[in-house]
Amino acid sequence: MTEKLLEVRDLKVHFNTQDGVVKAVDGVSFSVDRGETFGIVGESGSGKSVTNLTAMGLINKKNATISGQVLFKGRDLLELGGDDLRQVRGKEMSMIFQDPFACLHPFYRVGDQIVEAILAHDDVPKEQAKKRTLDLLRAVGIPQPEERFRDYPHQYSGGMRQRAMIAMALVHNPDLLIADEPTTALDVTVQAQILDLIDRVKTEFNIGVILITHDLGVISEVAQDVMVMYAGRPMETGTRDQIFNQPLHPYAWGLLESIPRVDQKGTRLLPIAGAPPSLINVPPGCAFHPRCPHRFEPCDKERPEFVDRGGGHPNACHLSPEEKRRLWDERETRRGAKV
Amino acid sequence: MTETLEPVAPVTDARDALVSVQNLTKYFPITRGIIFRREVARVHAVEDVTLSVKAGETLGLVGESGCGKSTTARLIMRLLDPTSGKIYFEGEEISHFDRKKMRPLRRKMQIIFQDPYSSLNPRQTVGQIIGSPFTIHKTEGDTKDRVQGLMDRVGLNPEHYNRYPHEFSGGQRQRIGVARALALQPKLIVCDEPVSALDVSIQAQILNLLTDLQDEFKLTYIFISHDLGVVRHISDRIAVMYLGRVVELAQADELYLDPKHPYTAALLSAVPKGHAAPAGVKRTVLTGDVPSPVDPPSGCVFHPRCPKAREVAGAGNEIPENCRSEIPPLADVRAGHQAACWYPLSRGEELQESAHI
Amino acid sequence: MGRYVIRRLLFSLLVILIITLLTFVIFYVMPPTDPARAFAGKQPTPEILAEVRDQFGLDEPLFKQYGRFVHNIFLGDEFGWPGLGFSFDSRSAVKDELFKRASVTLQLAIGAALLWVVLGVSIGIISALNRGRLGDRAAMGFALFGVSTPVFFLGYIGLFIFWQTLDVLPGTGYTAFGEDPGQWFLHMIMPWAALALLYSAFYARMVRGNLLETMSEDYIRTARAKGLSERKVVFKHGLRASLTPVVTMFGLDFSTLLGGAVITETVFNLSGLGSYAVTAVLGGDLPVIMGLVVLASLAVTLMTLVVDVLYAYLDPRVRLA
Repeated sequence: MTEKLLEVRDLKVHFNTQDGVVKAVDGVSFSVDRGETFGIVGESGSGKSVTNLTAMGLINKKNATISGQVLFKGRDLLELGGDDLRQVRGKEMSMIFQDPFACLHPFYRVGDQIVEAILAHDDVPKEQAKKRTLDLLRAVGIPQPEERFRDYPHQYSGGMRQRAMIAMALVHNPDLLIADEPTTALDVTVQAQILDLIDRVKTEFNIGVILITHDLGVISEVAQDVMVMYAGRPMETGTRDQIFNQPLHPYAWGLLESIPRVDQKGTRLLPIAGAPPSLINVPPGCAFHPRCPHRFEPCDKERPEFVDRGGGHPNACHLSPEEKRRLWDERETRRGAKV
Repeated sequence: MTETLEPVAPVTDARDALVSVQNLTKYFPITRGIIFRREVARVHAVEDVTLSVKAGETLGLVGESGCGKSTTARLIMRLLDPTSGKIYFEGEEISHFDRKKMRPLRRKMQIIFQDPYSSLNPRQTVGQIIGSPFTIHKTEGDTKDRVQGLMDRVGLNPEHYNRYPHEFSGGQRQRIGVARALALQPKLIVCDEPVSALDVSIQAQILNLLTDLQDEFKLTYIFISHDLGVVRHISDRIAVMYLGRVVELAQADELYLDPKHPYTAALLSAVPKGHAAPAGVKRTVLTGDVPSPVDPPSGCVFHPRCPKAREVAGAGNEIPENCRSEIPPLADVRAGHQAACWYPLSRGEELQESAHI
Repeated sequence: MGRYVIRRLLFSLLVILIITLLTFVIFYVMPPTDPARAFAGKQPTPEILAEVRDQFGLDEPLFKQYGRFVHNIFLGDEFGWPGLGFSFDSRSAVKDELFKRASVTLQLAIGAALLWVVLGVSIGIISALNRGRLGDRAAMGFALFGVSTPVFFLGYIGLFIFWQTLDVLPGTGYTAFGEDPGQWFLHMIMPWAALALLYSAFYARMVRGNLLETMSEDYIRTARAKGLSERKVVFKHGLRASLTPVVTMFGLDFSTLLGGAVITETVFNLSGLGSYAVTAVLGGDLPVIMGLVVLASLAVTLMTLVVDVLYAYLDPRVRLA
C-alpha cells in the first residue's frame, strides 16, 4: 500500500510561557487515509486542536518548540518554510473551525471571502472564481446562491455559515479536510445536516477527514478510526467499534460512562473525579493517574508507552489486557448496560 | 433491552402546581420610523404556552435555538413582562407584579446560568457572590458560616472563601453559581443550560450534584437544555418547544420511547447515540433551517419542514390543509402525554428520511 | 439607511437650536455685563445706552430677541447670510471676520489631521506587528512623550530650535496661501507638527491596541488557513476591522479642533477661531460669541453624523438601523 495521506509521528509542541513550559502536545502519532474519517476526541486542554493547527502551520513558532514529523503525501510539513507551507495550506489541506460566525470576517460579503480563497492559490479571472463559488455554494446546500453570495456573515444562519466555511475549504479540492469542532456551536438538527454533508464530501471527493470533537456521540456516528487524547497525549487509538465496545483505557471508560445517553434510562452518571491537569505541571508518570480509580504501582512513576499490549489496539496504560477486559466488563455490568 | 412503560398519573393539575403558566405569550417589537417609532413587526418569542410544574419535580424544557425556552423561563421568573397570559406561583397570580411585590418572592425562585465565565462578577470574591443573597434579603445569622456551609455542600473548599472567580475552573465556577442559587433555600431553581459550557467529565459531576441537592433540599427544577441526553437523565417530565410553542409534553421516558410529535421524533433521531449504533438505523435529517420567529408559518408552525405532513399528503401533493391553516392544540394523546399535532405518530413509527439537502 | 440619516439630521438641528438657546440665555439674560453697556463702550451716557438698546432691540421681550436671532441665522440680516449680527468690538459684521478666521483654523486642522492620522496609524501598525520588540517599545515611548508634552512647550521648543537657532523656518504669523504658497507652507509646518504630535501619540496607542485585539480573532486564523499572504491578512483583514473605532475618535477630535485650537494659535500667532473666541469672551462681544457657538456646534454635530454614517458603511452589521 502506498504512503498514507497524512502521517504524524511523535509530534511534540511545547510553548515557552512566563509561567513555565506548556506541553500542549506531548508525543502524538496517528495516520489518516483518503476516504476515511479519523476522529480525535478529548476535552479542553487535551491538545487535539493544537496538534492539527501545528500540522497546518497556524501555530506561532516563535515561542514554541516543535519536534517530530508531520508527513503529508510524503513531505514533512514541519520542514517547510513559511511560503512553501502557505502553498499547501488552503490548497491541499484545509481546515474548518468551531464557531463559523467568528470565523468569517464580519465586514466582507461571504461570496467575496470565498472568491478570495480561490484567488489566493489560483490566478484566474474574477468572473471564473465567482462562478466556481456559486457552484460550491449550491453543492453544499445553500439555497439561492446568487443572493446569498452578496450577503454578509451576520445575515446567515449558523448552519449556513458552516456550510459556507465548508465550501470555502473545498475551493481547491484539497486532499485533507480538518474539521475542528465543526458542530459544537450548532443545534442538533443542523449538526446532523452538517455531519451528513461532511460525509458526502468525503466520499464524493475521496478525501481524508480529521474530525476533532469532545462529543463522543458525534465520533460514533461518523468516524472509522478514533484517537482519545488527554493532557496532550494519546491515550488510545482504535477503530470505532473497538473504542466503543472494548475500550482499553480507564479515561475512555470514564468518558463513556459520564455521558447521559439518550437511548437509555437514566442511571446515575459515573463522572471522572477531579479535573483535567494544567499542561505546565503534567502529573508524573501517566498523566491520568491522579484521577484514575485503577491506578497502581508504576502509574505515578513511569509514563506508559503508547503501544498495543495485546488488547487489539494501542493504548497508554500499564494495566494488562486481561485486567482491562475484566474491569470494563465489571463496569458495563454495574451500569446495567450489559444485557 | 426493552423498556416497558408504566401507566402514568394524569398531568399535573394547575391547582397543586408550584408554578404554572397559561396561554403565556411574549412578543418583542421591531420598530421603524423617523421621528415616531411604530411597530412594524414582532418577534414571536413565546406563543400561547400552557405548562405547570409540581413541587419537587423536574420539568425539562428542550428545543433548539430560538425556540423560546430561555424566554419562557425568564417570564416565569418575572425577569420579563408577559405580553399576555397568566403566570402563577404558589397559587398566586404574579403576571403583573411590580418589583416591590416580586421582591419577597425572589427568595423562592432562583436561576443558574449557562456560562460560568460571564455569569459571576469578576470583582467580587466567592464569599461575596454566594453571600449576596443574604445581604440583599437582610437575613439574620452569620453569613460567613452559612456561605462556607454552602461551599462545602456543593463541593468547593470553604477555605477559598476569599478567592476570585478567575482563580477557579469552569466546573468550580458553576458550583459557585449553584451555591448562590441555593443560599436562601428557594423552592424553584431554573437551570438555564447549566452544563453546556462544561467539559463532559465535569458535566456529569454537576448533574449528579444537582440531583443530590434536589433530594436534600426538596427543590423543584425547570431544566433548560438543547442536549437531549442530559435532559432525559435529569427530568421527570419534558416539554419540547419549537418556534415559541410547546409541541409535546410528556413523562421523560415516554417522550423518548414513544414520541408523538414529528419534530420530537426528528430531534431524537438527529442526536448521535453515543455508542456504536446498530447498522441500518435510519436518521431523519430535517431539511432547511428554523424559520424566523418574526414571521412564523401559518397553522402548525412546523408544517413546512414536517416529514409526517409530507407523508400524509403523499408524493407530489400539497401539505394537508389543516396543517397549513389550523394551529393544532396541545391535546392529550394518551394519559399524561400531550402533543400539538393533527397526525401524531404511532408508537415505533419511523419517518421517511427527508429528501437530501 | 436614508431614513437613518434624515432622522439624525433633524436631531442635529434640534441639538444646535438648544445649544444656541442656552448660550443666548447665558449671555443675554444672565450676564454680568449688560449687552448695551458692552457695546456702548467706556462710560456711556444714559442717552447713548438708550440709543444702543433701541438699535439692537435689547428692550424687547427676550423670546422676541431670540426669535430674531434664529430668524437671522437662517434668513440673513443686513450683512448678508447667515445673519450673525454686528460685532461689538470691531463694529463690523461678525460674518466676515468669522469666515476669515474659520478658514485659518480649517487649514490648521486639516493639515494637522492628515499628519496625525498617517503618523499615528503607521506607528500603531508597526508597534502591533513587532509587539514586545524594540520597534514597539520605541513607538510607545514616543507615544508617551507625545501625550505628556504640552502643546505650548512643543511649540516654543520648536520655535526656538528651528526659527531662532537654525533659522530654517519663519517664525510665528500667518501668510495666506494665495499670497505666497511657499511661505504659507513654511509657516504652517510647526503648528501642524505641534498639534499632530499630541494626537498621533493617542492614535498610535489606539491602533496598536485594536490591531492586537483584532489579530487574535478567529477570522484572522481563517484567513491564514486559506493560505493568504501575511500582508493580506494584516492589511485587508486585520486593519479593516480595527479602524472603525479610530474613525469615531477622529470625528470627535477633528470637530473639536474646528472650534479652534486656542493654545496653538496663540503660540504661533495664527488668527484663527480659537484666539477669536478668547478675545470675544473676555471682551463680552456677544454677537461674536453667539456666532462662534453656532459654528462650533454645527461642526461637531455634522461631523458626528458623518462619522456615524461612515461607520455604518464600514461595518455592515450596523447598517440595519
